[in-house]
Amino acid sequence: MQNFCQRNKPANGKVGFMARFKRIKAPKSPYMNYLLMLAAPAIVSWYYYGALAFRAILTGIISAVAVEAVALLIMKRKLNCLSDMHAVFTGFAIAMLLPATAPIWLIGAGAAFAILVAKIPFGPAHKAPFVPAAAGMAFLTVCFPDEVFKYPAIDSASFDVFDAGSSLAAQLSAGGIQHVNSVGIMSMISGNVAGPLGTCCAVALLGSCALLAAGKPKRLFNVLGFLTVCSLLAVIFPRGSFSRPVSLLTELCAGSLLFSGIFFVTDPGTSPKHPLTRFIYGAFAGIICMILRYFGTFEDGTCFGILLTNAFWPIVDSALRKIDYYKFIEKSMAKSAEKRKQKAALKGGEPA
Amino acid sequence: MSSGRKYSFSDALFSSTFIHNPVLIQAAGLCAIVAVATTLKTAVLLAAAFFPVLIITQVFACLALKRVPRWIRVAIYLLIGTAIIAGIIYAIDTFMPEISLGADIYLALTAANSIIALHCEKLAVKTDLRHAFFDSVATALGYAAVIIPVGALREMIGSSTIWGANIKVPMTYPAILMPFGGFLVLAFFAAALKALINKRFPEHSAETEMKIKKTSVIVSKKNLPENLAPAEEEKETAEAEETVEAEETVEVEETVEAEDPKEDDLAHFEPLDGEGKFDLSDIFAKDDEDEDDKDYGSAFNRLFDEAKDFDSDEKKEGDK
Repeated sequence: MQNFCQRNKPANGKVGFMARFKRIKAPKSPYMNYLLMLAAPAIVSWYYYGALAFRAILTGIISAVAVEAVALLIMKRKLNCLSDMHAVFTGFAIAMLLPATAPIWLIGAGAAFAILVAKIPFGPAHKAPFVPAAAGMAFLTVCFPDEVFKYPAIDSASFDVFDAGSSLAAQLSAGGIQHVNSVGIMSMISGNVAGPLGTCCAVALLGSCALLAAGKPKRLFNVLGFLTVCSLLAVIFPRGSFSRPVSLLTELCAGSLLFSGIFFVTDPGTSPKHPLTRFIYGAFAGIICMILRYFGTFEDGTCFGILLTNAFWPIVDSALRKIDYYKFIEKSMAKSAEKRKQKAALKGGEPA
Repeated sequence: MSSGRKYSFSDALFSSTFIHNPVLIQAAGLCAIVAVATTLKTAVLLAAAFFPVLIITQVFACLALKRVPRWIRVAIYLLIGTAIIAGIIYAIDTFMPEISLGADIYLALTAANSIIALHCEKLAVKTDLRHAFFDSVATALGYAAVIIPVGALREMIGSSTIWGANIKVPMTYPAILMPFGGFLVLAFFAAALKALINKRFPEHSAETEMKIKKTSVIVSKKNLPENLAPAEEEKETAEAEETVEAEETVEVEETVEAEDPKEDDLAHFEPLDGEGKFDLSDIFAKDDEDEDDKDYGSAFNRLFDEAKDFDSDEKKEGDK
């Protein structure tokens, strides 16, 4: 693949001014793209919760960055690890998965656990075997389920009215068909229901997905695999006596399923790299997340599903190897490379 | 341990308690610690029960089991351990009935602790009595030195108590009482011990390396078919360009120097610009937009890749 300098190289062989400028800058981290993607649900959360949303997001980011900085200083490692924006993304994501009224200590504890336990011991961001934000959320869910699932009523002026068990995920797990039917499709899609800060608005999350497709299109295969399996299971096995389309919509909009599918399943550190393998990985994550939804203790166990996927993927990987999956991939790659060369030869240019 | 002098207890302490700690370095006997050592009281009981089981079994193995076939020996270790533990449980039930620790099943499982079989087979049946006795005591001490702090820490963090008495802790995290919390605490303890050994006793650091078998073969650039390997011309072009850049500006040179591929997180990331184009025919194409040359592996696989024993195996195969 040609890098920026190669693509913008003038005909006389010298490197262009803009290309040189780009070259001096540190390469962008993929988490910059994720932060951009998080902007859409953040704006929606600001629309619904106002300053509370900013408070939660800022707390998450500051906690994660501060904990990582202190840990790196103690371990006498370079602070440039912070520049990959992974800590910012982790704190941001944890804040989006919690209620808008979550206490500051709760967000800080989740971010601290994510960084100290799931990231720092393994080195740089891409070496962490688990998605740190999912680990932080799982820790909070186990330790403080009451605070994590205590969502404020969205139509309350001061957000001090807590609608216990009113979120879509809670209603689904309790089989509360009446409440779900009373919500309305538009409210469900636009996020006008009680739930986590940034995971309820399906429209905003689809916007994030579009940004993902624009930035790193191959990561879309993870999301496709994940959503395909989740949708199929939701249609085939609806919880409660919903019609199948309502079941599909409700399952996708409830809890953090869509959010996790877009931000955690596509995590560059834990995901495989090949498009087809990405699809299989996403499908595997979808199966585990839906199983936890059907049989789990908590109303939303998607974070546990992501962690289990990270843990069991090496086994799936070795199973794929046993059925010569990777040999098939290699052959396919060889064929596609040959085709590319032939195309390039026909065009008379260099292969891309 | 020098070959010229007798094996002393301090040698055993250094080796079996510290350098080859049965829990933190050899990763044996984790079950009871992770599942039951959630309070200081339980941890002390388990540690106390482990002392007689290990010492008696190891001494008996050294004295009487050297000529017994291996497949029988392991069963005998289990029988000895069961007999001792049965006596301990009977004594507790008789003389201290008020103790209700909820550790009965794990107390019984101490008889089948992997540390016992490991040390008996590895050492007791191969050495003299003095060596076996010192090793058993030191190993039991090493076990106690881990399980007691782990139990105390988990009780403090998870229940805000110590030995049943309430203490003031800013926040209580009940998740630490769950098995995964035990694994986390053990992992941090193991990392601390490893760091201490690496710093103070670097000559022993190689002995503490955990041997991890590589579980999956990952297609790397080296394994790719020839037509997919990067062409020499492209390599040369890239090198030439880097040279041109370095000659043109000092700033670029400084930037390149600052980037250490081993330590810099960003070294494996490519710029995002120009990544918007995507062709569906690329579904089977090599995804070279991402981090490194391990195309199909997760972070777990990359961790396994870094295991030193795997590297050494590769070198051996290369030599052959």
